[in-house]
Amino acid sequence: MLPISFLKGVRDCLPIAAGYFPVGLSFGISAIHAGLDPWMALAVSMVIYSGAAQFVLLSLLAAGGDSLWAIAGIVLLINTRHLFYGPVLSDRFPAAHRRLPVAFMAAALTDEVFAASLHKLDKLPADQREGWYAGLQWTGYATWVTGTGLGAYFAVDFAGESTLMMQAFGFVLPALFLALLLELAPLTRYRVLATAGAATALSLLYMPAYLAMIIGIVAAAALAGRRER
Amino acid sequence: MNTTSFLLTIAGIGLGTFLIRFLPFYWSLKGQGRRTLSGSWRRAINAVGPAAIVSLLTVAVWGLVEKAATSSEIVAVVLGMAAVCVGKRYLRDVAAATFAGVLVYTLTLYLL
Repeated sequence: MLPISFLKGVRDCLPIAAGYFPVGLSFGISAIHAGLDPWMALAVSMVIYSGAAQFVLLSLLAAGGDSLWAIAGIVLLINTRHLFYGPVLSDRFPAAHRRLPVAFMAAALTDEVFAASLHKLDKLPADQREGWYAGLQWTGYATWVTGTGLGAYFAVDFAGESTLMMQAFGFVLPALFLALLLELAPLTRYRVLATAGAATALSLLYMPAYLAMIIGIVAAAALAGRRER
Repeated sequence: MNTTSFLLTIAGIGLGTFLIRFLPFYWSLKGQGRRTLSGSWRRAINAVGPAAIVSLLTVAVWGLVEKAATSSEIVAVVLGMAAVCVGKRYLRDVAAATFAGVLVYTLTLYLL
């Protein structure tokens, strides 16, 4: 059962992969321009695997940051929103059907994997969920690392590629998020969704995106909890 | 920063990122069946997922509009988003709706 469900996860990752590939490619190219060796760019994507955090890491390195603790602290702060994701998904994996180690399940849990899983896991039979989820997240990882490798090792060749194609790839993830939202919106109160959007948009005026996201999520969750009392 | 410091830095960040993803997941799975969350907490946790998607969408669209050099790029974003909505309504599939939106966005950029 695991291989079939795994392949379904691979298939369902295609929209995510279409979004990851050009961003991974861009990261590889940016890393070379920031002065890293190709193997270093590849190592960053393989070990850290977190898009926004990796670009911030590059900018800190390019700015001459040499304090390991300061750089690590800033980059990890960007990823704190991932703290919310595991607890939300865990209920979708009943204990009776769990075979894979939690470390394997959590290692490649990105924003996009979380969003796609939230939409799909409830619709799958319990015994197929782990396999599907593994296919989804590890296809995303492989795409990201492949994109970075191609960008880093063939940066010069890719630098002159079609701008229109890169713009098209850049629209894939926003389009995917909207499609996922349309799928989930009927299950959630409109005011909760509106609060998340408004709080995030207002926060974006004053702070970086990763902090704005956390504020949007916390504001919406607080409202949802308050309505129950 | 020399190679050793670089490797230590990415190893530290990689480990930290992994733990941020792993520990809440692990503790939640470990506590499965033993938790008795109040209604308020349960509702708040259930809202996290949809709220995260709204926040991701807001950040992504904000970035597209912020980077738009011409008004035709903003028109392309609006038409692409509309195509996702229409695609989701009639095709009833997330992937198909996504690709419909990307197709309309790209065609609009090409034609305008």
